This record gives sequence, structure tokens and C-alpha cells, in this order.
Amino acid sequence: MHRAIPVLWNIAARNVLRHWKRTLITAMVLSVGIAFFLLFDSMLAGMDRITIDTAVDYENSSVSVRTQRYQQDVASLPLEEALASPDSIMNSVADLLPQGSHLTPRTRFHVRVSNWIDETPALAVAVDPDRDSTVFHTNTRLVEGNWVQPGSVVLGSMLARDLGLKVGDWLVLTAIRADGSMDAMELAVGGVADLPLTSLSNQSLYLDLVDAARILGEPVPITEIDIRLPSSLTLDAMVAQAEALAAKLEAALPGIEAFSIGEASRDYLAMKEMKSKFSYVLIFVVLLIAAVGIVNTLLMSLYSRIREVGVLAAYGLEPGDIRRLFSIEGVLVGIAGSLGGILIGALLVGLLARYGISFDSLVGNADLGALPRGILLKGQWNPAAFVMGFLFGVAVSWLATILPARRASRIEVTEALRFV
Amino acid sequence: MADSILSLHAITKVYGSGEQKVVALDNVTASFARGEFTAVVGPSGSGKTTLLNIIGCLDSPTSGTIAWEGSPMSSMTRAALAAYRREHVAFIFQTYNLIPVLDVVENVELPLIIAGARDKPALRRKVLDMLALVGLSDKAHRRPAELSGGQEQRVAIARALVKDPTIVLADEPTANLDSRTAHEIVMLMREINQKLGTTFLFSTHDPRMMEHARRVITLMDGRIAADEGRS
Repeated sequence: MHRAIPVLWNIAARNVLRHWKRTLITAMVLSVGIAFFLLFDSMLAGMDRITIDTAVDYENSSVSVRTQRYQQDVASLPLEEALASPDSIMNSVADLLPQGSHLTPRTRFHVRVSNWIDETPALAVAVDPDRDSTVFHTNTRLVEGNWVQPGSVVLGSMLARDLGLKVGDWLVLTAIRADGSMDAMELAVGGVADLPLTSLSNQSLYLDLVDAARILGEPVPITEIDIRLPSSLTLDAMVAQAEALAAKLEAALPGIEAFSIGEASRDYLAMKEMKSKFSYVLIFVVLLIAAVGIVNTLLMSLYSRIREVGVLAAYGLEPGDIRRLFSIEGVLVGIAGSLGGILIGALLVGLLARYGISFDSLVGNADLGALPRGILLKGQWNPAAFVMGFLFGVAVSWLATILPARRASRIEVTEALRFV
Repeated sequence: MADSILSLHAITKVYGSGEQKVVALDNVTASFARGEFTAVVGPSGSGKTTLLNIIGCLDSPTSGTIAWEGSPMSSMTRAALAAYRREHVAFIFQTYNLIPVLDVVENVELPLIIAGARDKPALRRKVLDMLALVGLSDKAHRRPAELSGGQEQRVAIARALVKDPTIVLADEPTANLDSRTAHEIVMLMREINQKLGTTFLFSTHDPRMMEHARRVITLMDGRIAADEGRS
């Protein structure tokens, strides 16, 4: 160890405490910056989590098993490419699932919905009502009426509003079968669901597979088997788990495409990476502001202690030691500010993770595509962000000491001793 | 001169240039022996502080040579000069210049720590001995702000002596003290000089300080006007 290091730490610590108000203000700037970064990071992670969770809960499930040909032409929902023997596939899939998983069959098909006056295209989702509720959360979003029963449908709230339909009203569904023929049937509106995704709310309706068999013909084609995996602590773990299962299913079931939530959200997840980069830019800007504060504090400290620097130099402290002394002071402020930042950050993230905030209150009524509506945004804990926030804080503080420390080390001793 | 530790040859120090040029020291030649108790006197601006600063390697001469125990110092780096100050020289300042955040003991032990002392108990013993020597044992844990001017200067003397320097340079050490305290400080310096054989070189305006000096160098406009030894 360098011979003067202990005394440098001693003097630096006392100087930092001597001007405690100045230290506190500078450290607070850093703390607020780091806490803001942690909160922002937690909100971004929370936003990612609810976005992916919403996709799992309402649209894709963790893994959706389809035929490869169906998946290739998924936009047109080709009934003729439905699963050939869905019961046997379901059994095979069930054998490969981890403990605590659920699965359900679904059939998606294009329909036209008429309220006897107007007609609009819509996406029909035929479900097994009991099993579907173990995989999807659609049944939890009912604002009127009941979940799907034979003879009645649940409408997305925006679709219901557009058609002026409410519970108890009747509608007519028209669909084209796999063989190209067309059929229509009359169903009652049994419920209205306020779905968190605009794309679902304004065009989806849910009906029983029994009713789907009536309109699409027996046996009812099953276009997909949807799987819910047990919940994971982190988003990355959830995506990885889904992708691993998809790979396992594809290997075990030839001709099958297992479409994981990772694949379904690929674009969004790519955007997530971009957002994290943005959050690093944010912390950089915030810490830059804090760094200016630290430079200022150290320069003020230097000018109020020039004679002291002169005495230390007169007693043989080398220029490098004097530079070190000021660097240590800056780093001490940095450590205090960074610790404060992660403590305040932990408190804010803790509150956000526990109580959450309404996502709608953040974005208003704006339609944000994949981003859900009517969902509570809960903060996510990201230990890496805390470590990074602390290290960034200390590193930036150290960088901020370079200029004042260099200036202190270059002061002429005789001038310093004369300084008033 | 016998047992010379420091010699100055034709030292000139010029500040500024052109019309702003000030010659602080002009062709000063002198040497100093171990154990001297020497006063540098002269009116304000005569070059006393500049001479002490150059001897202490806080400042460098414009021309001329300084030699420490026969070795020239003109080619030494800043780090080497710092090492010279650490090992051989101690300073006592007119305004004491104690470190306000450190207490008395810590201020006194500072030069030892800067010099790399590791043995904490030995270091502490030495510091307490020094404080006993300057009569401040009971103020060991006071901060400088809690001391009188005379007490602060005693601490500064203890700080200067603690590392057993070869030479102590004191720039007007009594200028900020009342006459009684100034007398006590001079007597203390003289006592240490006699007891420990430490070389003292001090600048002063104070005639009572000059009385105690064994040698008096008088500077006038940067030149040595007189260099008198006393018995």
C-alpha cells in the first residue's frame, strides 16, 4: 500500500464530513439521479412484463401448438390446416409438459357478425370454456354477463359497442367452412369482456366449441392447442422456458409448429433491448449533471483549502498524493450518493412493485398497439440495475474528480501557502 | 564552514519580467551548519521568505546552486524534492497552518505518516513526547479551532520536530503572537535547538527573537548586507 494512503483517506473523510451540507447536496443530486434511473428501469421492465404477460394471458399463451402449414398462413386462419387429430396431439403434448402446466384447444376463424342491421368482420375464437380459463384470462375481464356457454357468445367490449349489442341481444354469425361452404347461426350475447388489447377488444368474440361445431361442421376443426406454463420470476426466464418447451415439442411431434411467446413477441423483445439502451443514455445524462455538481463541490473545496494543500505539499506529500486526496473525496461523495440512490431507488421500486400504478393513468386513452390497457403496471426488481447504478455513480464521481484533483496537484506550494 | 549541511551559491530569484520584474534574491551565497540557530532579518520585501522557500525547496532559484550535504539539488524532480522535504526539512509558518479537520495528535503525526511511518504505537508515543516537550499534553485531542494562537504555534513546532528533521525553517513564527507568547515560543525553539541539536533557520522582524539567535543574516533588497555570528 502507498505510504500516505491511510492519512489521505482520513483527511478526505473528515473534509467530506466537515462540509456536510455541501456533501449532502451533491450526494443528493447523485442519489436522485440513480433513484430515478432505477425507478425508470423498473417501470420499463414492468411494462415489458405486463405486455408479454398480456400476450400470454389473452392472445398467444406460453406456447401455441399448430400445424406448420397453418402457421405459414396464419394471417388467413386456414381452417383446412387445422390439427389432424387434436385429441391425440393433446395427449402427446400433455405428457411433455412440466408440472403445473395447463393446456386447452382453441379454434380461431374469420366470421361476419350481424346485429340484423349492420354487419362487420370479426375474429371468432371457439373455446372449451372450462379448460380455456386455466390457460387464458379472458373470462376474468367480463364487464357484463357470463363467460362462454353453449348458445351464447362473449363479445369484446369495443366490438359490442360498435354493433350496439348488449347482454341478452341476439346476433348472427356467418363463417366459411374448411370446405369452402358458408353457414350462419344465431347466438345470444352472453357476456361482454373489456380486453386489455385494443386489437382483441374491437374484433374478437368467444364462443363454445360446441357452437363452433354447428357452424363449421363436425368434427370441429381445432386450429391450435394452447399451453400455459407455470409462472416465472423474470421475463427472461419465462421466455426461455417457453422457447425450451417449444423446441422440445417440435422435436417430439413432426409436422407441428410450437409457437412460443418468445417468437410471438420477437419484435417487441427487440424493442425492449433498445429501450434498455435508452435507459442507459438516461442514466448517463442524469449522472453527467451530478458529475458537474461533484466537480463544482470539489473545486469549492479546493479553493477553501489551498493553504492546507500547501502545508501537505511542504511536508512532502507528492503531487500524486494530493491528486489522490481529492479523488478519494470525490469517490466518497460518489459512494454516499450512490448508496443513497440505491436506497431511495429500492424504496420507490418496492412501492411500485407492491402497489403498482394504473397503466392507463400513464398513457391516457392512447392506443399503444401491443401495450395493454386497464392493467396495473407493477415495478420489476432488477438487481443488475442496482449494481450498475451504484457502480456508475461511483465511476462518474471518480471521473468528475479528475479535473479538480489535477488542478490541486499542480498548485505551486509557495502560492498555496500565501493564499488567503 | 565546519559541518556544513546546506550551501547556497550565487542564488538569484527573479519574479516576473520586463517592467514587472522583481529581484527577490540577488547573488546570495551562504552555508549553514548542523545545530545552528540562525535568524534571517531585514525589512519587508528584502527576500527573507523567498530565501527560506528556496532552502526548503518550495521554490526554485532563477540561477545559482543549492547543495544539500554537498549534492546539488537543481536537477531534482518534483517528487525528489518532495522526498527531500519529507526527510530533512520541517516548516513552521507565521499562520500555523494546522489542518483544521485533524486534532492536535493527528496534526503532529501527519509528517510521520506522510514519511511512511507504520508502527502506530511507536508513532503515537513519539507524538505524545513532542506534545509534552511543547507543553500541550493536555490538549492532545483538541481541534485547532479550540486552541489559542500560541498553542497552535506550539502544535506547529511539535509537528515540525516530530520527524527529527535536520533543519527547521520558520517564517516569522512569532509575528501573529503577543509579546509574552512570542517570547515563550522563541525560548522553546532555543531549548529544542540546544537539547536536540536541531538546526533552526527563522525569519523575523522581532528584535527580541534576534537576541536569541547565534547567527543573524541581514538581507537588504535581496542581498546579504550582514552575516554576523554571536557567542
